[in-house]
Amino acid sequence: MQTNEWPLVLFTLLCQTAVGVFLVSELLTAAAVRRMEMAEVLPLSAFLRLSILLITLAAAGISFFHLGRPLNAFRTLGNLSTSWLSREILFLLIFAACTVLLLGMASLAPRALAVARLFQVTGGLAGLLLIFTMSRIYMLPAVPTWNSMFTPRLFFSSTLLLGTAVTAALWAVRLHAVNPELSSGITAIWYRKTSPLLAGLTAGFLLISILLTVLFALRMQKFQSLLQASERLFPSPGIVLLFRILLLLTAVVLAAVLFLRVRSEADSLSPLLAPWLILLGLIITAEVLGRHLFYNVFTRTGGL
Amino acid sequence: MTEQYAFFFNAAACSGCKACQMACKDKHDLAIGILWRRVYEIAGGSWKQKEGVWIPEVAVFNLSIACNHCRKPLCLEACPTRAIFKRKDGIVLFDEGKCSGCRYCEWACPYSAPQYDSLKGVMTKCHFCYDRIDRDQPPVCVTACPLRALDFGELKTLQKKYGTNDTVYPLADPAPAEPALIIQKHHNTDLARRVKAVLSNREEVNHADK
Repeated sequence: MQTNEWPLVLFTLLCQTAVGVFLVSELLTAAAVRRMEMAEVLPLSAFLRLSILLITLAAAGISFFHLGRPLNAFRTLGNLSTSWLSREILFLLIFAACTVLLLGMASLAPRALAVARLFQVTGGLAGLLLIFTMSRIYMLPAVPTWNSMFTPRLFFSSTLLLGTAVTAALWAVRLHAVNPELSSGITAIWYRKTSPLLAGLTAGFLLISILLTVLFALRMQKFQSLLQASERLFPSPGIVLLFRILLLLTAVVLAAVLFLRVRSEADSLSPLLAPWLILLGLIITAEVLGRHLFYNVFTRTGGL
Repeated sequence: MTEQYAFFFNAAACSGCKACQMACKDKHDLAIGILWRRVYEIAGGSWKQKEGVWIPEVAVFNLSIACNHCRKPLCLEACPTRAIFKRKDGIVLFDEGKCSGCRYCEWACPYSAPQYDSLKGVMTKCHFCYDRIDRDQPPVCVTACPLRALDFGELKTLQKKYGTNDTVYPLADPAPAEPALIIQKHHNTDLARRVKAVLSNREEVNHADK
């Protein structure tokens, strides 16, 4: 991998995490608002929105380390007509703005539901377009290993997987801090109801990630001679791939155990902070390895 | 008025002396690792048994490639800051002051033309020696070639003179970018494709790996 691409590994994964958490948490918030008092929902919702904003800001900050001239970063919106990178930055800004507005509304105008819904929809669409434009950046005719539908599939799969796992972990962190026994309160009841869903979704998205990883690896066989010629074989992609799949399989087992536990012991459950954090750790490590592998297979047609 | 300047390269004539590469590097005082014009050494093949006799089936030839000042430059489309632009005579130029050093143009170009200067933090690329062109002088790479394997001029004029072939194994499909390039193939080209010859001087020329 080129040494300058570690910031991109982190930037893409953090953006995908932020968008994923936004989609999952705002859907949950919208569903919760229908069943619960706004005052019950707001603290958790504000915590999640603040987390999304911090993750987005971290992604934006890290992206500067990729730039040779960070002071010219403001110019990156200058070619919206043809550059996917310009479009990516535009949607990142819209997404971040919607998150800020939703966060502000949570404290300033908690009852303005219609306006909040507008920002939720706009933010969600901007987030989806951010991931789409991000994947289009890599679909270059000159780079056959990236130029396929696998790129958006991998990026959207990461978005959903990280979004679900991080939302669940953040939710557990929050409840562990304010209501560790889940003794009372509607959010505790809501958590008990939704945690099986989050665990089940995480397991499902993990299975999709494993499938995509295997299919992507099989596709790379076509370019084996190019990749060998480009001499980017250390550490061996095979070892990285194997380690990623092992981590994802371990995470599937843990997510399945979590799912069974939260479903069967819903009434006496604690936030299960440690299992969620371990699951998240496994997923993050697997995703970093996967993205490392993705950048590692960069090669031009002809290997030139 | 020239509409589209272009390079001609005769792979059959090139000996791989790299005078073009060095003349370019010298004139533009390029930093270590940056080569606006690169001589790729394509090599491959092995021994083959034929009628009980082992005979060599190898293909070796050189490709001298710089920026092809494409008619549809993918680098220009990719650049988010509009630091890359095309002159009226087709030369693709680069405005260092606008570059953010994101290196997206480097990925987008099928010919590795934009190259990153890590000291300046910006991309650099062949500008067709436009300073010499404006004084009616040829680019230095063309002047330096002792075998006259390189030529330059108006694309249509060159096409009349040398034909219209704009690609050769293992260069990329020219369709998306429409390079302003004409190539005379080496007689080993088809064999090179068959034996899957590869770039053999990667460490020397491939800036993208650094």
